[in-house]
Amino acid sequence: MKQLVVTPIRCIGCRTCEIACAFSHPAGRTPGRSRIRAFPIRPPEGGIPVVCFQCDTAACVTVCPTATLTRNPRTGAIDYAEARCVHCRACVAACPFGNIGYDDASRRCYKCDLCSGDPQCAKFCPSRALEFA
Amino acid sequence: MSERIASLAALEAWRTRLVAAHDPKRKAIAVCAGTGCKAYGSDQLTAAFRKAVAERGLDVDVRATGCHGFCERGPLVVIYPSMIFYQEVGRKNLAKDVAEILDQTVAAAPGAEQIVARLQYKTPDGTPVVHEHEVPFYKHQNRLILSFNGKIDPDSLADYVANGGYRALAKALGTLTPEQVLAEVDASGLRGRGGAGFPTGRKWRFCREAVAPLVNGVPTRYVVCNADEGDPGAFMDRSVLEGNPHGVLEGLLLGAYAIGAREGYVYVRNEYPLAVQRLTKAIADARAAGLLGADLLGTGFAFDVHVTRGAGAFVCGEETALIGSVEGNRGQPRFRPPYPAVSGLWGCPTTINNVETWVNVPLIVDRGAAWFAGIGTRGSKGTKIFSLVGKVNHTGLVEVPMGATLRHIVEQIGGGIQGGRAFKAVQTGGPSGGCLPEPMLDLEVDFDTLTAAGSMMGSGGMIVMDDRTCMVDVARYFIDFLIQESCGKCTPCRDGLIQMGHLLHAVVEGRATRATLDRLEALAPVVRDASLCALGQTAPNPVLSTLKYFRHEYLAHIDHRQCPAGVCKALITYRVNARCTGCTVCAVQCPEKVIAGEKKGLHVIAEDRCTRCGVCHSVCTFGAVDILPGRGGKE
Amino acid sequence: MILTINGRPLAATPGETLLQVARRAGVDLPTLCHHEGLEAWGGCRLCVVEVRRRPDDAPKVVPSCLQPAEDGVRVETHTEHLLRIRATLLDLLLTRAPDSDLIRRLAVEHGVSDGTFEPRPEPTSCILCTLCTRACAAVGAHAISTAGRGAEGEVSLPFVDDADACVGCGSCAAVCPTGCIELKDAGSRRTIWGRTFERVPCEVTGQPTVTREYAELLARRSGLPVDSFFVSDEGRRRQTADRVAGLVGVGDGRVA
Repeated sequence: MKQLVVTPIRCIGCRTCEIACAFSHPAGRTPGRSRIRAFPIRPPEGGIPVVCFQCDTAACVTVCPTATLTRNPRTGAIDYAEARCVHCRACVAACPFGNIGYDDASRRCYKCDLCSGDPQCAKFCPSRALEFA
Repeated sequence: MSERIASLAALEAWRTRLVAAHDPKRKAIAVCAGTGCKAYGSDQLTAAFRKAVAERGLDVDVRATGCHGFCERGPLVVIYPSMIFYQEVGRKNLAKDVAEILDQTVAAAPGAEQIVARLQYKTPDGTPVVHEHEVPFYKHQNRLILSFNGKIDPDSLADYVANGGYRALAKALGTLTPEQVLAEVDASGLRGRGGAGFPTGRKWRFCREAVAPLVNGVPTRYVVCNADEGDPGAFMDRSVLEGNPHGVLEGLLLGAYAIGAREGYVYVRNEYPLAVQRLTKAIADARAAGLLGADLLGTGFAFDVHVTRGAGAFVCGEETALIGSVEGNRGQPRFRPPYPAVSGLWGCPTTINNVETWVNVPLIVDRGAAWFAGIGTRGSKGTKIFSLVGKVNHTGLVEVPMGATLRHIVEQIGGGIQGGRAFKAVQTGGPSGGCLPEPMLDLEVDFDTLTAAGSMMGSGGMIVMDDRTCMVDVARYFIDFLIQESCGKCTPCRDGLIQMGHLLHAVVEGRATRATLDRLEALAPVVRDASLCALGQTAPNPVLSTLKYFRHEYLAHIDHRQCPAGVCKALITYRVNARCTGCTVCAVQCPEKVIAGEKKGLHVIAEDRCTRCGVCHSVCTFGAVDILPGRGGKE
Repeated sequence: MILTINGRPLAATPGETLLQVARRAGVDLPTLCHHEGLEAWGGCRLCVVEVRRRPDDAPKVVPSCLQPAEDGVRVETHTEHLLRIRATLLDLLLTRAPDSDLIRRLAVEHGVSDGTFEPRPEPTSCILCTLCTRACAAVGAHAISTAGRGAEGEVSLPFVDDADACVGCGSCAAVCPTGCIELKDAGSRRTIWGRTFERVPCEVTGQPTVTREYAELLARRSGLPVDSFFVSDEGRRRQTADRVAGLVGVGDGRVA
């Protein structure tokens, strides 16, 4: 199964991944929250991408009371089923890496879903810091 | 006998000894100790008899029994063996009644008994009746289940055994397999007596065949007795529990054997303290005798039973709400499937049956399915107990074979309408049932016949109404009851019944139009079809059946602002007529002081200030106060 | 298994409800008390459908959110009778809760512009759907339940005002379809069910995270240490980036 591979040393801090992610996950008619963050480093110009690790034993899955977060067998991602969410934000509190957040405006959690198997961040990354392989 | 009965043989030996010890010629005084007669002071009566018998040194057994059934004539006393029947004993003069019964009837030689005439039952034309079985109330019944009630002391296991009790259990444990017991109940055609009339054998079979989860390593099923009996006016189950608790226990034992349960629960409504008391004693005695617990009668079969009390909720008579309540949860119905027979108490297959259903089982196993199926109609076998109440001459508990007509019950047993007034309707099935008018009196008591006519058998409440009953008010009464009892889980029942109540109140208070009726008729089917449980689903029945058969009464309330029956306060007028003698009693008693008149002169009620409380009508001994339909000058 | 909905044959798997099968097939069935993440309640009755096992059977009205899919069953979702039932139910609900936008929208969709029944003496937007109590039970706080019977039922704390078990997670207010549970956040203070909580500030960003009480509940449920919940997701992202930076050996081990 392909995975999203992150090579931080190649990151140039351009944050195109964030834009690609936000536009691939619209909230209404506007771009939604980005599920990936590229934190800039100076000097030299670069960045550290932080994105959901789709953990084998995920804290978010463990703590969710309604089985809203479940493994997608096709993509390998941990998917968020909005219809099951009771907005308790236990997942947000539990993720040790901060890779799931809650958007008050759209009243839902946001986390990386590997774009259902075609991650746009990897597609648009100019420096191969993000690869889907 | 409080020793353990160690074997089937020991049980039969005991029974034989008890029967042999009983001298059928020995005199006995059976005093009814059912709740109704107790309220009339039958406990004091029993004590008085015992004391007087001891003082006179008589060799007479004084026995307090379960409910005899003729409740309105209590306290009831029957003298054995001649079966001389006395009613209203001790109501006016306890000491005198006791003394005369003992001296004139009991102390005399058989055949030379004298009857205390004032305590006899008299037919409406004044003819006195001597023997219990000649009293029309009893004569026209078929008292199969209730036969124990007058005979045995409900606190005595020995009495029950001496009268054939636990013989069915011995037969089952000794000679029948569980499957055979189930087949017998199935073949008998017994249908649930709680109201729905579901075939009992079929329900047992579902339960027996359902996968039983392991509890402490043992596949577990349960049997439950539904003794919640919430219908207003119904007291059949109460009397069976009070009068024959062992009969219910034996039924549960047989059911448990047939379906494979080792534990049972009797869910009794909290408002039945005497039933709880008698049941608890019966259970204690049965345990001590080894008829409950482990290794019953040395056969290896184990079964025990617990009493759970309700807490004032009609809805807990619904089986899934009952299960929730026994589990310690809120008494609120759940969706079915899964049905309790498959997943009930704590997720285990559970057979829930009504008290009367359970108490039929020992009779079926003892005498056989063919015997049982020989009683009743094609679709409804056996007998049914009804609590006959309302405007009949004889109110009480009656047991008739299925197929008896409503007319037979109301006229032959009930003795017709009080005061010679006109029959108007009979209501069966409690808040879930319907009202049937006079042309339907020849309907047979049968599950399917009554349902087809727009009513239902229900658990056995039967309320007789005369021309002074307002059918709209009856519908309003039942809806008001159900509004209080709705659990509130589903929209149509919780919010719909309240609105049906508003609409009905508008009719009885003279604020309705034809549109009110349209809205009622539009709302009722929604409540019926969309409600979660039978409470809501059957709630519209009283409204729909009275609209069907008594629409003219609704229209009188709406179009003419009149209550023809003289009940609905907003739509009646109290008026003094020419029979007034000027005794002034009404004027004195009137709480609003709106009656004017001189002594010996015609009295007049100020109709605009009269609150229609009815006091003047009830205190007038000359029949000089009329209740007229309508307000403002209508005759 | 195959069943038909409005004449269309559809595949279904054992264990599914009629609602699941219908929605998958694009049939729009309204619901109010239903939530995918919580056990079905079957109380609002909006989702009712008519089912027949055999073509000659009289139709039975059942809640699709609970009725199991069965092989060969014939389902109708929008008969005149069902539409009349839904309209009446929404009329009753709108009469009860006239201030709820959701109920009004649903009612209008079913031809009911206003509640036509007699209103309650005291208005409430609560429709006793029990989404809040079920969510609270799922979260594990069990702080609220329904009290009272019938039309006098209401969602309540134990003994009316005992809010001890509430952890201030806010799930009840979030799932309520009519917005009748008041949750007030002012900075780090949160007030709900008559109780005021402090949301502990994030160690990294200073923004309010969760209440101490909720953190304790989460700790019990997950086995994670209580203090781990007092960093916000933003704070954790930053910490993660710092750690990765340190591992990779860039930017002095810290991000900008």
